[in-house]
Amino acid sequence: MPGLLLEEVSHRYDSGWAVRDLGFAVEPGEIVCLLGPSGCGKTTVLRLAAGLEPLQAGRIRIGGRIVAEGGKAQQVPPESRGVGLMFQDYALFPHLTVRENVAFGLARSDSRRATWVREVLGEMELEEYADRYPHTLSGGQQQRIALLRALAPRPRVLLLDEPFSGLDEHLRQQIRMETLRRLEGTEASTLMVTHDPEEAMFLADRIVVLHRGRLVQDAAPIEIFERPRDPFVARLFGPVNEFEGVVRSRRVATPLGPVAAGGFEDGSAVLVMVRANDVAVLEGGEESRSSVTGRVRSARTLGLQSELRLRAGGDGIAREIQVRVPGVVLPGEGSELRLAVRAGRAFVYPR
Amino acid sequence: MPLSGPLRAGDAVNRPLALPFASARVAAPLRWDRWTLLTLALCGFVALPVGTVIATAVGPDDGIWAHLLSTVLPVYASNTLWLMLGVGLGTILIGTSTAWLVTMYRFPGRRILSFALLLPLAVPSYVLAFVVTDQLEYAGALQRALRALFGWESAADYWFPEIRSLGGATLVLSLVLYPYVYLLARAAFVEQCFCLFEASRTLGQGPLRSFLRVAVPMARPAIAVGVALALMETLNEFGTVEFFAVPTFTAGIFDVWLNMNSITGAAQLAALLVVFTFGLVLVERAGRRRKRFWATSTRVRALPEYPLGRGLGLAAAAWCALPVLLGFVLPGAVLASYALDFYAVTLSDYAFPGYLWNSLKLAAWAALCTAALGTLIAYGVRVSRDPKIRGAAEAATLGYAVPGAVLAVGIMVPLGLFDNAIDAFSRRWFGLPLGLLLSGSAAALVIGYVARFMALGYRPIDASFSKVTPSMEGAARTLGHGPAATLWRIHLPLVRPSVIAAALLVFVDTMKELPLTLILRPFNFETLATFVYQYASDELLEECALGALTIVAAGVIPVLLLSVGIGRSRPGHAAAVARAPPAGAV
Amino acid sequence: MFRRILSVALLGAVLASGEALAGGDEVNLYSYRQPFLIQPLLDAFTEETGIEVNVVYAKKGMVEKIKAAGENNPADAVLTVDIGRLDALLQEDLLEPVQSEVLTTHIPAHLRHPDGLWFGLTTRARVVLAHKDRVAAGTVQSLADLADPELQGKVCTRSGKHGYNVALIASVIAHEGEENAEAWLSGVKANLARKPQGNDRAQAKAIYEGVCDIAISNHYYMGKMATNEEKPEQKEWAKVVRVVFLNQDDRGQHVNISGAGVIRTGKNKDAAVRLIEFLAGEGAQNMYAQDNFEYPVRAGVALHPMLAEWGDFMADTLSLEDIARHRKAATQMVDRVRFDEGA
Repeated sequence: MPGLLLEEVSHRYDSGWAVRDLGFAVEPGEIVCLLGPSGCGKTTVLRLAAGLEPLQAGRIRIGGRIVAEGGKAQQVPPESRGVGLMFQDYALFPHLTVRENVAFGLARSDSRRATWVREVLGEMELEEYADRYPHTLSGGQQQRIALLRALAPRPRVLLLDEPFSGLDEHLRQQIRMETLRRLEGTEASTLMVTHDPEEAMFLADRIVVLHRGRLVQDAAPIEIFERPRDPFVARLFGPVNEFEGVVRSRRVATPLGPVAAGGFEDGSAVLVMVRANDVAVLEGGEESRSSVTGRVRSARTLGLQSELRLRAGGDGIAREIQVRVPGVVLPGEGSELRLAVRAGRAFVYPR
Repeated sequence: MPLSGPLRAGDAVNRPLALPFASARVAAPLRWDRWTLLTLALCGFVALPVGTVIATAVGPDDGIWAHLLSTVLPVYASNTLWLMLGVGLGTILIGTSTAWLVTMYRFPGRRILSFALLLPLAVPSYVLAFVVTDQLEYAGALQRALRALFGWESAADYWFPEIRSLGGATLVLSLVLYPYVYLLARAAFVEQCFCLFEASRTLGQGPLRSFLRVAVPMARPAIAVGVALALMETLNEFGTVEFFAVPTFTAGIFDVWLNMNSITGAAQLAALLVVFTFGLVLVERAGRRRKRFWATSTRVRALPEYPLGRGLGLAAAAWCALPVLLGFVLPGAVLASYALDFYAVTLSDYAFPGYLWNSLKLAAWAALCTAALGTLIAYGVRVSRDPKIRGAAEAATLGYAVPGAVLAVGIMVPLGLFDNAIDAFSRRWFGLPLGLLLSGSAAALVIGYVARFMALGYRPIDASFSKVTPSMEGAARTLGHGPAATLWRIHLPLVRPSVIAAALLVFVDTMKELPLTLILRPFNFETLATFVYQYASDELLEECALGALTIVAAGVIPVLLLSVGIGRSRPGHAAAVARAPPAGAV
Repeated sequence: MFRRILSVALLGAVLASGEALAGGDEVNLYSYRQPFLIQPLLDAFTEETGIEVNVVYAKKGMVEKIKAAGENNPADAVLTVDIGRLDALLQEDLLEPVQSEVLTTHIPAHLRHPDGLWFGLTTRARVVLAHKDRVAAGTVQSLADLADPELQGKVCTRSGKHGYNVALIASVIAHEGEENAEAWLSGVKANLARKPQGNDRAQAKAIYEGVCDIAISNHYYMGKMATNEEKPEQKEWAKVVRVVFLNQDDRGQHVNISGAGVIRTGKNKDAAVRLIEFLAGEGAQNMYAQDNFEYPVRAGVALHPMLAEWGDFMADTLSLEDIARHRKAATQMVDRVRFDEGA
């Protein structure tokens, strides 16, 4: 039985639909990331699941029980849903100490309360701050406290709203790891909202991609990466080369040479997408059946990778190609390179 | 599957929570749940007197409108509008400028002035009116000195501005009412994110322009609340304007009521006043729709408190001291000197301590009840997110714009009906006559004060609820706290300074309140204000100066407490920081 | 939480409703007259009869308060400073007809309601105060003279809307009709030295200060000023003016009353009648006359020496009901001529 189940959920603001016909499940112990650009309705989904927003249409179940059903006035209020929500701005209570914040969701009579809070603050190396007020702490410390506060009542469903967006890159990596470890120890069904695909890949057991309030793909991270269902998903992970073409003899001609058209019939208009990382630069002796020659327009290093822009293809389909290669490979401007699409990494979509 | 709290059956109804983008939500039908009903019931209760006045207005007007329109109504209306304009500008000018100076700059006497600027709040306007005319009229100290100096013999020898005039009334009302603006503007400046002011400075705007273009607009909701309070008080004012012989709309109401014996006509005029006030509130709201006033950053730093140079510092001190001198020191000193001459008149009334005790008791009850109901209503408005509920809350504050004596009638009628119904019930079923349970007792007064001063209770609390971000509410709710528990554990601690401020404002105003007290009090019940009134109404304030001085003194203490409260209200919590020194970053 | 609020509210109600239902010998009074004038009289009444008097002093809203209380109205009697309030109570049918030998014997018929709905207790003459030197004797002899253009810029008065002035103007309407009255009032307005303001005392002060020469005032203020030991400057004001009784050659000086009535729904009506009888009695009438400089309604009560010195005057015998009936017209006339804006 899924910890959290959304069925045909739709929600509308004056400005238009925030969520349309959305349905997915989060199993106990599973981490699902809701991935999409800002404004795609992610946060609305969290608020609907938490009961902070009245459900207009559809059904939400927690632990099998219907907690909200569209059009019905009687919905289970947030405090009775057994959900934990970690807010993007943390929403720590400024008038309560760290200890009081973390213990806020626990019953006053709960004997485990003090023990648990002390233990957990110790584990997170926050013990010495227990009696301080939140605003005196750093961003990373505040993030940890917000997470602990949401986890403290052992919610059946844990909802995280962009939990790492307030942190700088260096801290983010560290805290992500920490968070993952802490989540792995719980049986909660975790739903996390993020706009960062890398973060989603790192944390999620499954990723649900949202686009304009609709579900585009719901699959394991590797599946999302390897087999993006549509151009929108394909574009999520870094720069993409996009070519329009028509299928001829089950292939499509591109500036990077012909690619297999998959299941498309001859004559159909298609869009071919190749990630910049999936264009291979062939070394001297290497040969490939479908390699093409590209002339370097510019080459810049990004540190771990280099970004090359080349002009490739001939006879009316010549265009600029973006290529990412590992290491500091900086060919001179005007030099010529042999390029080929990595096997099976050209995605073809109908146009 | 571990679960700390089993899901309970839908024992409470789901409440949507305020969102920053709440206005974008599709309008939903009103949800009739516990909080909505409670809020509506409270608003209805508080708005009942105003509602009664409006209901009384339904009826034939006995040709009174035609008469008034063709004669004095235009004059009354123009007097009222000029007075409101003058008092509005006066209170904004004094209140906002002094609030900014004491918040942002260091100059001689700043600490004392930041307290003292609130003191005129403790002075009843009729006292200041009396003192000002007493000093400035022909026989007053100033003109006597001028005559001695220039050898003038009589009024015919020189020109002196007429004190009993629109100008005089504007001056006096501005001096006693600016503290509302000062109080709220200062609180807003203290809480403002200073970074915005700094941003403006780096964008090439000088301090004054930055003040006008950033600080004041940011504080606009607070200033608007302060001015609204001052203007509502101006509208309901009768004693002072009568004293200054400036007939305003209120004068028309009393003419029609008492001289033309038409309570219906009077109620119609009062209803017009209510509608006018409501319109002003709506216009102000429309003016700031779609604007956000809360800071985007949650980081708050200590205020810089720029030191001012010698000349500028003295000028700032003088500017801030002037309203205190005119609005508090002058009347206080004059009263004190009269009190020395006439203390015997007051002290000869052996019951005088009892009057003081009655005043304090009533003021405390009124403060407690108004702040409590104001908090509940403001919270109800917030959880419902419904404009209809907000409208109901606005309606509940309109009692402040109605002349007290008219409001008293609006209170007596429903209370009388209620009491008689209870009495009839009790007689019928228990054979026990109860008489007038509420309207025959001081309970009527407390109910009256609540109806009258709800604007003071509701508005500051409502404004300060914005300190609680929607996600804090959401956090408390998802952590298992229902709306009532959330109010108790999150909102109340965070808005406590405002709740206390509201209570203290009501306390001070109740101490000064007169018309309602006179009419609604039970037999043999005297307060300081009614005691002073029996002399003041005959322009014999000197003889009860000690009583008036006691009213002022009793108002000074809560006013000082108020001032301490604002200093502490800066987010960052001075007290909390003191307990735990700031940590370095991890 | 809700329970807590409810219990606080209930506690408040219980605490606040202190004096609930007292019975026994008492009378509950709504008084438009100020306590420092009336309290000594009430104390004397209690001393003589053992009946406690409970009072609310107020200037507005008492009619509505009695009405709103319905059958449970606690007030037994009302004391007023002029005919206006008594008439308002009468119009609302709130007064009880009183049959009292004592009252009908001692109060002249034109100073009480024919059915005993109200009784005058004192009369007060609305006279002219004129500067002793600056105004020649005989300059002002009637109300009509106040409108004489000769007096331009010399007249002071309080607001035309005040009950005392409204009654005065109403008497002019009753005698001369609206048209003549309005012409007269416009004439008075044209003579005003300043915008109507202050109380009656303030007008004497204005004469003293040279702002004007002639003022309209109730007569007893002269006595209060002339004997004011606490504020001796008021003696100076009184010294420079003389009292002029008006219309002695025709209809007589306009007078108003302070009066009393018994409330129909009161519970102690007998005690209320006793109180009014006491106030019409010799002792009380004497106190009115000696302490407050009013003209007693009861024959044979000595006037204050100062009033005696002013001499007898002929009072206008126009019925007070006629005056009350024209109050609305008088108020509207004040509006029409814009009296309160001054000349």
